[in-house]
Amino acid sequence: MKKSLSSIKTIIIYSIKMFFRDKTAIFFSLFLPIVIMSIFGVMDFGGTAKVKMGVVDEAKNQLSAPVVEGLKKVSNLEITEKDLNTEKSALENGERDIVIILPQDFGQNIGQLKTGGKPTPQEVQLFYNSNKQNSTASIGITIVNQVLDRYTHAVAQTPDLFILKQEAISSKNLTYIDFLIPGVVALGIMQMSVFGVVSVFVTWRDSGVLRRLLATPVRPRIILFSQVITRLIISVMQTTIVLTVGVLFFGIHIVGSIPLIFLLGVLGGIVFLCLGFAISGVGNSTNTVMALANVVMMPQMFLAGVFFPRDGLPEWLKTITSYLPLTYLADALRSVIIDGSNIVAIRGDILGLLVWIVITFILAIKFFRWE
Amino acid sequence: MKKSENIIEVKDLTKSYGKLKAVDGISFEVKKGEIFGILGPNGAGKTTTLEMIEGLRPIDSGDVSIDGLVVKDDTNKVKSIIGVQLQSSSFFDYLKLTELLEFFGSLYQRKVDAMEILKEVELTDKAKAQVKTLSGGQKQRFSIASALVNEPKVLFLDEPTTGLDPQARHHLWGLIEKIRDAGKTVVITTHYMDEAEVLCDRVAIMDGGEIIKLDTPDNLVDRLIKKGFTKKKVEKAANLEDVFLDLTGKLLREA
Repeated sequence: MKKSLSSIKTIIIYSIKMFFRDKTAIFFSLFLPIVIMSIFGVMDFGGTAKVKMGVVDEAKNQLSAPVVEGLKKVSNLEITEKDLNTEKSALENGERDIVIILPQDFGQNIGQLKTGGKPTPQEVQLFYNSNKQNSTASIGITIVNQVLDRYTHAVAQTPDLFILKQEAISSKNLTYIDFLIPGVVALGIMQMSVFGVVSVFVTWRDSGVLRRLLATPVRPRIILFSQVITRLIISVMQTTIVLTVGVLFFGIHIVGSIPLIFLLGVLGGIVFLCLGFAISGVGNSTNTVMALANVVMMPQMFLAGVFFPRDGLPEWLKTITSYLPLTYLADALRSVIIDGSNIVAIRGDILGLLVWIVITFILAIKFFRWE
Repeated sequence: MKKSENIIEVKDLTKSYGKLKAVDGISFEVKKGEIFGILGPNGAGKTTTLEMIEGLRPIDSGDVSIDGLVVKDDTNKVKSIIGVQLQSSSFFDYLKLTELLEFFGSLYQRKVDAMEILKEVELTDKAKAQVKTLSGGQKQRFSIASALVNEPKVLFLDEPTTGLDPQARHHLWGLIEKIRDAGKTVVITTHYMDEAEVLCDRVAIMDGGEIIKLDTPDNLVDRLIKKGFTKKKVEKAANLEDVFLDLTGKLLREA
């Protein structure tokens, strides 16, 4: 027992030493997650983009001016004022989301109002980009409608019957980076574990280093166990670094319990380490095994909701992908980190991870081999 | 200690892969303090035999004991009193020679003086290098160094000079003799007969998984001559290797 512990300690210390001297490993495990985070963080997909609106004021009189001014005051709009042809071709190029045209005779029906008659509503033409995600254009259309309504009320001097009393409840101010970072942590754990085991064990096996180790009195299970612990330690370091960078440079808010985050990291780590051991036993050469590892990891990278919510997927795919190990890990980390969920709230995900531990452990025992 | 005391005893050792009998019921003894050679063409079963003795490969049937320990029952105890140099002399990347020796030492629960071991194999100037930067001869010497960290009673060398130039080969022979003279027993496989003739106290010649002859190199040669064997070409007082070494010198060629 004492001998085993001492051997475990030795193998872990030297393995970590080797890891830190392996620049490729450092790049893929510590640097790459931060690069991914930075790229996607700067792009900020989630932030509500401003509606790019072209306003063509053909009237240019005291009746149309307040409408243009009113639109300019709306902070969600980015207003440009060029002539009709320029704005329309900008719309076709996708540089505008909507284009509104105030006709030359804008507001001439106000006269009818003053004589006490019932004015016929005047048409104001609006073009919108139908290719663009419909939400952007429809936000713009709603805003235009509202501005025109207010204008009507003001001119006709009719009182408002209702006033919307608005009050913000969520003060967390979540952005895309808050969504992204837990996913990147999960992704990092998966890649670190699968690639770590696969590259180390297949290289050791191919080069005969593993055989040389087995020629010493160290028992095989001690070698395996030490590798598992080494990889878990590195995963914890990686998670810490990614989260620290997230908090310091991207201003993410970690609401939930830190120990719970690391518990999830360890559970996920075990799933993917077992998967790595299984994969490393299937192929013979480093190349085959690396390709296989990619086949297993790539779909999860894009389907497990790491970069984008899975809500956009077709229903059947959404159902299938909800059972992926990376989905369980990313979802659980996300709800702990940004929603502050406790262990009870994420019990479904934890159960999912535990089931995957059983499955991948059986696969590892079935496929892993020493030579 | 009697010179003739056996340190390794092999009895009816067998290993089959499917229908192929890789090792077919061989028996022999290795005496304490000798260099024992296992010779044979490729596929004769040399490496399989060695690996079964070392506890690296399961034994189908038969018995092996080293220094009184039965390999089948006490595999780990056996592993701790032997030193093993495998055919592929790869080690971890990213560790220096001294670190590797300390690493292997601690797998035997030993604190080793890495520089002292490197001095024995003349690699002190490479102490901070990684194995992948070493020349072929240096790699083999380091491989032997790593097999010495536990001060083993028996050292197993599997084709240690394959692929080395004559200078490196001669140098390694000197090293192996030095280890024997320090009181260790050495078991070596090779398919170079000149190597066996120079180094080995006794040799076993294997073919098809069986030992077909076991004796001292001298006796084997004498017996062949007695049978009336004559060489087609009469041996001169020197051979081409002597010429080569005379011309290029015995100095080791390694950066």
